[in-house]
Amino acid sequence: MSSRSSVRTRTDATESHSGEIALLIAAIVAVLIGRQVLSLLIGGRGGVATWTTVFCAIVVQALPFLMLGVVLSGAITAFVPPRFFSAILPRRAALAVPVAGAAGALLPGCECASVPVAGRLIERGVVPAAALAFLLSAPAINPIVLVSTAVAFPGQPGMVVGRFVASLATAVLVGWLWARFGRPEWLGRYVTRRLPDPDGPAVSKFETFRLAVAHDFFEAGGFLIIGAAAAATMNVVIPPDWITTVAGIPVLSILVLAALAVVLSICSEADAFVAASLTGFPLPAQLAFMVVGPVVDLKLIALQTGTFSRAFATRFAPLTFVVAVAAATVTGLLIGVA
Amino acid sequence: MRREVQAVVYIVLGAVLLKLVISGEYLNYVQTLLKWPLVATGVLLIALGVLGFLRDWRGRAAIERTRLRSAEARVRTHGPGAVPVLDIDDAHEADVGAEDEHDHADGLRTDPAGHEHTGDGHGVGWLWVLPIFVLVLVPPPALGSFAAERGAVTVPKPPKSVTYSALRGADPVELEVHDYAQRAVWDGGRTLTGRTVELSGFVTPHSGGTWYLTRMKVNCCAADARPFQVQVVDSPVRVTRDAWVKVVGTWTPSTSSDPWKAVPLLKAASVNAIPAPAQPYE
Repeated sequence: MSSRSSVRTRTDATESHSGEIALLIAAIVAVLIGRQVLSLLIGGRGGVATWTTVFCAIVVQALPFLMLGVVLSGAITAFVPPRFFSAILPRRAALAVPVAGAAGALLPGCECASVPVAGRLIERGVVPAAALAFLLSAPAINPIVLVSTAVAFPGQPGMVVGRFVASLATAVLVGWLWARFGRPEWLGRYVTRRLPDPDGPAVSKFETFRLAVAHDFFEAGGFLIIGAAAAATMNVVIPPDWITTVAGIPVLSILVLAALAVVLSICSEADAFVAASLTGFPLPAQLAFMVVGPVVDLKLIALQTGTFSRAFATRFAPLTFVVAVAAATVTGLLIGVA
Repeated sequence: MRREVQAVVYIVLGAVLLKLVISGEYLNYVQTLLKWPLVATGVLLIALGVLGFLRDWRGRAAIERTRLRSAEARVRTHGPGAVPVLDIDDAHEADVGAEDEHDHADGLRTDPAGHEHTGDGHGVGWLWVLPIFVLVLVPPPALGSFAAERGAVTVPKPPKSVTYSALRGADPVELEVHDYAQRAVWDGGRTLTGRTVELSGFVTPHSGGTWYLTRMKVNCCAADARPFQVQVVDSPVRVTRDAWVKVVGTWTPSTSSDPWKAVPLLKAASVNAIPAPAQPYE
């Protein structure tokens, strides 16, 4: 057996080596041809150029926030003692969910930052439902987002309050629903993963931190790119008239803006300005755009699929969408009455 | 995913971000607010990549030393007749086997220092190549007429806080395109009457030989861009699509008096080509 494995190993080594050479050659060819093809397409300044600009814009814009998220989550892994969160959070999920949801106000980032942080929180023993409530509330109710909402809707403090209330309600409701009906195996590797063995090889905290950051950034980034590509496609493909024609229809306008928030995947720190520019739409529809966007969008779904699992994303995203639309509609109507 | 590839991706990506900021090209994609966050991200990425390389070399040197030592030990205990080559293979095999196991476990991590951190479990990390290639080879230009044509030519209702103070300075007064459009349509041109204004933007041709002076308004990144368009009437020169121009002219009332449907108009006195500005958005 030993000799057979040795042979296999030797072949593998050769293959991986030739694989690298093939990769290098492929890269050189891609650079030579790709440059011509790309400049031809982008030089035309048509749909392809616009797609590429929007795609690059989403990636470039998300990078600092993604970095903030993975640095924070790396710090949670490396520097926070394993028992810390279970000590400060209420033991019962029913109580831990609202506490974690409210704590989302402390993370000054957008949705790209919150997914890796939530993953590491679960790894650190936080009740999954509570970590998910944090994941949903952090990009929606943090100070930066609320300030930008106030700037986008000047003289309408109701919009800021409505956004805060509806987003927090969404996070807590989804958290409770998850605590009641969620299954641990949907969270993929985060529940099966064991914490580092304290008797294992001694690794410095910084090294743990570095490895966690490098790993999370690389992996989450791949999914971010999928999401950015999908959002850029929607940005270029959807005929703009479709959106304005439904502005006057009450229920449909809410659903259309909610769906638009999903496909456009605009950063939660900027979506208030876009919502404010959709002036023909009723207030609950604009609110739905701002409540749905930070909790469900193409780039988030891709990130969640990568961080947790596909089984998770296919259940979590629709659930969140329904709850968010309901919360935004109710809150919007209440504000409209008041 | 091999650790070396990851390190290379980090270094290149960090360098690309720094290059975008230094050349000012980042303004084609995001707002100025993100300048320093982008610099910080670029520096951190390069640091991550370089650190990764250093640790790797040190780690590999340590493995080599262990192998040599175990081979020597084997020779000492089994005599010079022992086959050290196989021993090295065994050591290597154990190493590779461990890596395989981690790969199958799909990111199941038991040891934060092990190889498993580099296995990304999905292979999607490779997609980083895409934006890097595009940004290095052909950085896409700022949004132009294609994106503008997808937007409306009417002016969205400005928020209540927007006030229209009297224009200051001597004629021609330089105005931002969205400012002019809002004054022209939502203020009935009150502050524009009797003044000469100067607008710069790019050309978006429309049907019937007319064209619009266009500027995109961006709040965070180009994904949230919205066009503001002013129809130029009596243009003294012919213009080409996407060309950047500076138009000096006077306000004339729109054909529709309903601000929801009105298209802002500018009667041109002169139209001059200008180079594309460093900040393409408003």
